Amino acid sequence: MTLPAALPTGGRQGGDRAAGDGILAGISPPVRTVDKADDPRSAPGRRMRKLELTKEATNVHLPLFLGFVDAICAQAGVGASRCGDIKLAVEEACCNVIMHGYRDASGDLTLSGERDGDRLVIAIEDHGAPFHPDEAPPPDLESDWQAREPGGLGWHLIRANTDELAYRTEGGSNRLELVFHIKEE
Amino acid sequence: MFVNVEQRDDVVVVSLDGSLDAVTAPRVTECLDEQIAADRTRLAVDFGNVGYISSAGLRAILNALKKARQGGGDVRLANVQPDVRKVLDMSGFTSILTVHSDTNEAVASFAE
Repeated sequence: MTLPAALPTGGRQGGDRAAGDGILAGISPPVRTVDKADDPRSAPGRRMRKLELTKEATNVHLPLFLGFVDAICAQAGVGASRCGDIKLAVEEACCNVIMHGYRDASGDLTLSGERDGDRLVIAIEDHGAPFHPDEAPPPDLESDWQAREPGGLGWHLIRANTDELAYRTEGGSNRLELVFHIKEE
Repeated sequence: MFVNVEQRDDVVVVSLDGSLDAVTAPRVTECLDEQIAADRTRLAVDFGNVGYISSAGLRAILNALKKARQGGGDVRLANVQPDVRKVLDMSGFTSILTVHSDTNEAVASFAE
């Protein structure tokens, strides 16, 4: 599903948004859009439709998920550099679901994004093994190269690039919500 | 991700073009491992055309760094762009590897 040409979004428009629409147009279903224009919490000029994509959680689909983040950022009026930070957090979260949540099993991952005023909320939902972010071991940022073990940086990068983080698991479903504070550029 | 390998004296310059993420990192690992396995352990990796790196990319670099140094060589980075530099800094990588302003400088550093 492609989005209407004239969405009421704030921030940057034009080229970025067109690029985002292009990405969305290239995704075969299901991309869902939810009209938030009547939501009273949405500040005027900063509204966007909620975008949602569900795909099997595999590395093969990772470029699709990351392209979808580009589309979310374009719709939300987020600039390229900040979008890179957001993509990094989302990639790490998606990889955690693919590698640790489902392990060798298959299952769906739903990625959604919507802008609420100055907050861009991106949610990653899955039905794999739950893992609370508070259980992640601290990253090793100081050992010398001999002692430094590859890996263990995913949650560190998520936290370093995210302004608010919430996790909940209920009835076999896990939802990680990443919130990014957006400044007008 | 495009990977170009070029021998300059006794240094191998590996130029990357694209995002270094969970999808592309295995290819970069394969390329670097291939060089190290052939006893070409002095590696300069040109990041001039890399605008994005995730933990999978960092893992690829760290794996190669450890193997190269254990073989008597090193992995040195060049042309690192600001967004990638930021991730290297926040991951503590700039304390364990050297970053050069360009590929020539990285290659020359092996002669020092």
